[in-house]
Amino acid sequence: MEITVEGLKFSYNGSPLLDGIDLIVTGGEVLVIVGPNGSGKTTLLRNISGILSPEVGSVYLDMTRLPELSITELARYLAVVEQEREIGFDFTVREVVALGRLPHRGRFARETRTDREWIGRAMELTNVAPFAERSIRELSGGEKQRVFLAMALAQNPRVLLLDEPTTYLDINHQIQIMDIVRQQAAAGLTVLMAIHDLNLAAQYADRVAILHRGRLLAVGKPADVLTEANIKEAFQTDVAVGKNPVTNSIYINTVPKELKTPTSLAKLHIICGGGSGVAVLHSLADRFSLSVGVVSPLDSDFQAAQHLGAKLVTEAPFASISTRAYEENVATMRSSDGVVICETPFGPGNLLNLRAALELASKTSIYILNPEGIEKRDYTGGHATKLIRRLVESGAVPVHDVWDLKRRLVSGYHNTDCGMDRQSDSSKERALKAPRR
Amino acid sequence: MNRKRIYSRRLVFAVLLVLTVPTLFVGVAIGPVHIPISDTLSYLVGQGVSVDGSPSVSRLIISQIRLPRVLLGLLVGCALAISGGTMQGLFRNPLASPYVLGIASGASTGASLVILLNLRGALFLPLGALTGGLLAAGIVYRLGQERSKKTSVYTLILAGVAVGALFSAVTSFTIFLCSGSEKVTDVIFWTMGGLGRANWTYVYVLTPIVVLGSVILIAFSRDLNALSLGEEEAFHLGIDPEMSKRIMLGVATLLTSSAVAFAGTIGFVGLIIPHIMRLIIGPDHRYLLPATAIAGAVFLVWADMLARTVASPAEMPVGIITAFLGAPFFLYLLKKKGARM
Repeated sequence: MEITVEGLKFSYNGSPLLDGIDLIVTGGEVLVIVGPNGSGKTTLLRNISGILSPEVGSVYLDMTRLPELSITELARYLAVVEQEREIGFDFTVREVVALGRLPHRGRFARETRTDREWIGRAMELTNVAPFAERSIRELSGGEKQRVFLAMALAQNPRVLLLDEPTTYLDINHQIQIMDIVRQQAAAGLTVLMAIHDLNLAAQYADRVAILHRGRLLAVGKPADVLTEANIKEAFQTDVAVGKNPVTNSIYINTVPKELKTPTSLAKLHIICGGGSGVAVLHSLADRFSLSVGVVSPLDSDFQAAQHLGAKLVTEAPFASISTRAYEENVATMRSSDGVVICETPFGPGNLLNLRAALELASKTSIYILNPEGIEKRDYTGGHATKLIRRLVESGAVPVHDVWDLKRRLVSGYHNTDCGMDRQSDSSKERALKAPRR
Repeated sequence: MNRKRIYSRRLVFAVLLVLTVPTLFVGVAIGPVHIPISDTLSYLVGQGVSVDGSPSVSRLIISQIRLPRVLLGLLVGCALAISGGTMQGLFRNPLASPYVLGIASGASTGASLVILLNLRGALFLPLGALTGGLLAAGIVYRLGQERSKKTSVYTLILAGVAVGALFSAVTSFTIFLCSGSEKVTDVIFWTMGGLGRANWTYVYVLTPIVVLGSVILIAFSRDLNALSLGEEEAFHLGIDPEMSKRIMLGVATLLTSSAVAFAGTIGFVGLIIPHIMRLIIGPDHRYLLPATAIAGAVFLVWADMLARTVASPAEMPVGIITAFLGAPFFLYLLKKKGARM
């Protein structure tokens, strides 16, 4: 079934909330509406679900205008799942799901076999059957949302509207809900949903619509719509948009407002990955201006570095380091006062980070955390081990742990209390260029 | 924790229906005047042919006093309980009662005016109470209408409290004006509720109202289920929430006002009985409302029997008994179930 929204305008207390919306959602499609708070997402959905009536314009289900359908007819075609909510009484899960059959049943009719089949199927699909006899009030948020989704599916609708169904759910439950919805769309259901999470939208939507100040800023494929420029305009936020080479979907990362590095701090470049840099980054962030590279945005080190405002040299997840990233990394290292190599597992993908370090070994001081343990973390058939040994031979400093590292780095400075207010270049030299063993 | 319902719905209904028979019998057999059980049985079964063929005093007591009283008890208990169950469902609040719309206060005002103005006539008192109750509910309902013509249950509750207080003040004021008159005692007894005025006219008038009203409410029980999720959710399930609310509020108001008109403001039946039944057979109103109706009817007859015999030959207002039985049980539930209420 096709949803057609035509020139829809709606205002509340005189202020326009929706200002001329045109949109078509076809059967089997998942269209996700994103937009900042107050952009009119919920209002649009409520105009389509029949709770509100547009002031100007119309909503059609296939060729029928919404007001021409009775409330019961509408409920046979269209089901709605909203944000998590409280229920007045102690209904069991099955009783709630069974309510989905109301539009298909007369006032005095009892539950038929068809009803029972639909209820059972909806509970299986959403995996709520195991707790069918439990009280809805005892369930967690994720379970409750699945029950409401089951109720909507028991309606056997042709159109499913979802208004931020995953907002209060953890990532696992978000994905469960989205997977079920995707699966239903594949079976022909028309799905229109509003969600906040741009990455979830990018991953699950066939098309995305950005709603901004009551108008559609852009509608189309996620990659075409969720651009840095569009997101900046709608959300007033700087983001970095990348592509996940595995799922082929895009991902969006926020860029912290204060990326500019204080010039008074000594610069340290950290080579890490796979979470090996998190502790190092956190312990050094207060005294050094940090840069990190090359890491992928899906790496926890990336997130830690981003959180701490470090400069990042990145590469797409699961891809090998490209020449571009390699050169950018070398340039970043060259402008640093020192380089730290963490206890990172090295594979073919990130081996180039060690080569980059070796390239600069004579020009900057390099600290290596626990170089003796490299063999256990070497997934390159010995190449990484060889590179680490050559680094040590050419003067890199082995350190035992984070505390050892910090002690060595900081001891070279006279004035350690107020960060890196260096007294002279010679002290820096001592700490970074010629550290005492 | 799996909450399996211990009692099957069929069993509950079977027990309730079986209970009504001894209830009817005991209600008729027991009273301040001792009537042998054989006489009672022969009257009930043999339809008025007593053993010696003459109309005995026992027969008169049974046919003119006890039987209409028991039947009135059944009707009033049923009306109050099913209205209470409906109100609790509509207001999505287990603490709602049939009196939330100010019906009790309005009816008391009407009844007290009739008593104090000394209007005589069999139906003046019930009519006065009915008018008062409907007037109060009408004002509350009017106040609950929003500009968008929708009814807000929250405004209704608050308006019910305020209008109820206003009518109580009017009642108190009229009592104050007439202080010293014997009629004041009548008014106070009326407000405590009781089935003592029962007669066949009352039964004939109330029967069709209660039967029809209960059938309508039960017919709308599925709407009540959908409304438990919220009004917009009910809309998405194909229910017109505004229409359903109006019909159910209207019918429940009429049922309550009629019950109050004939029996005064009997408390707790409409609050406690739906609650107990919800604990026993669950919140599905398609089963809850009929079960509540039967249970309310049975409960009120037993409470009335206690009221007649506890202080015999004097008679206690049945409202005292229902409160004595209901309040502690309610507190017990409140403590035991805690937040689940």
